Amino acid sequence: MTTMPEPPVQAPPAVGWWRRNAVWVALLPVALVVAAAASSFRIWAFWWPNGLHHEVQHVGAGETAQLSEEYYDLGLDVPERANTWVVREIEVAVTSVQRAEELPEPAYGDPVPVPDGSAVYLVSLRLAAEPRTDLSLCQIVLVADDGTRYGEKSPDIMGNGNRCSPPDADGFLSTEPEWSVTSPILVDEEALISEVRVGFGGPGYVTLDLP
Amino acid sequence: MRHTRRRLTWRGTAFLVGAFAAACTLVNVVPHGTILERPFVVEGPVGETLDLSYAELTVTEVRTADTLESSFEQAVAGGTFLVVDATWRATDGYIVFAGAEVIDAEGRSFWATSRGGCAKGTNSQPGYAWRATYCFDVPRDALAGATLRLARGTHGEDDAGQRRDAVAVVDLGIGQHDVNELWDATEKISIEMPGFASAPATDAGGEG
Repeated sequence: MTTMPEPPVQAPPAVGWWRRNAVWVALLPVALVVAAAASSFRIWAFWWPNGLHHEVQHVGAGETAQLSEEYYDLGLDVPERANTWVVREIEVAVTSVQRAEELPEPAYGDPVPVPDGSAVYLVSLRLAAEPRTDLSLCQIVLVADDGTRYGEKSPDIMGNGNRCSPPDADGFLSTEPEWSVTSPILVDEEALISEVRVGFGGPGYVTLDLP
Repeated sequence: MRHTRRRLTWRGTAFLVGAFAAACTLVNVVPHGTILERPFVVEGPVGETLDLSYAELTVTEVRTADTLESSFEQAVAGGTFLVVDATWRATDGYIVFAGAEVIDAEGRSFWATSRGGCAKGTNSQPGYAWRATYCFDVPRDALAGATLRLARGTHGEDDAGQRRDAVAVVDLGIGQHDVNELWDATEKISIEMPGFASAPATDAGGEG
């Protein structure tokens, strides 16, 4: 009786560390992204909604921009909208940006002379929206070629907290389908203004180039 | 094979525990307050314009008073009021300047008061210089060597609002020989509301 020789036992091929841990190595970048996102909640919770951070549209000189953005309505002016997300849709066009010699009358107090080293610009806009559109927190900003943003604050320098409403407006809701406003902005005398931004507290805004 | 896998598992566990211990040690040993979270301090004397990157600041005048007056209030000091006039000029966009405190030679902090119509903080934007008057009710032994610390970041117990951000520290120029005169003065000062500065701060300087 003859016995067949057993075939030689072949050692399994050596499996490297990277191969054995391929799944975990692949998951590591995912874990890092999740950890970074979890510890960065302040960015979207506090920074992102407060300020003009998202350019919704950028149009050339003389063109009309459309700002469409959701905001959370507290129902201060329209009770039936209280605690709901509302889409604000507004058309904006720059009709003129002119330099003036004097500041307009302030909302309260005595007239204010133009500060040394400053220049006054009057920015005129044509706006269009459905009546009863909320115009509060309106910001009209002049941007210089070096990126400096003039006039971001609302109320403006004259104390007007309703910059996107006509001067005789009562409250923050639009009443006409189309209207015009003029807002004064103080600018450094040597600044070169290149564009206008319009927003309502943020994060969305539209940019309109100046000729 | 089985033996090899087990040995590797123990080694991996030891590595993880070691890495965790090392990371904890690092977090505890590195002095956060003095290195990692330290603000960028820009120092200068009264009258010099300091460049804070987000604004230029000039402290224009330092006075003391026992009483402050404004159009709606009269305030009497517990110690004496250090009254500091400052001019801000924002450089990028709209900014709230929230931090305002006086640090005395011992390191004690005195926060700005709104009594008498003084500014606890203010805000400004590019295009003009903005004047504000800050007041600090301080005891006699806080006068000599006092410095003013102004910034956009809020002051507080650990200055958390000023981490990795520019802060102005202005030596108020009060020596020991000035203390008697400042303390004995029974001056009454009328505080102006913040407003446009008549003389803009333009010549930036100071330490970067």
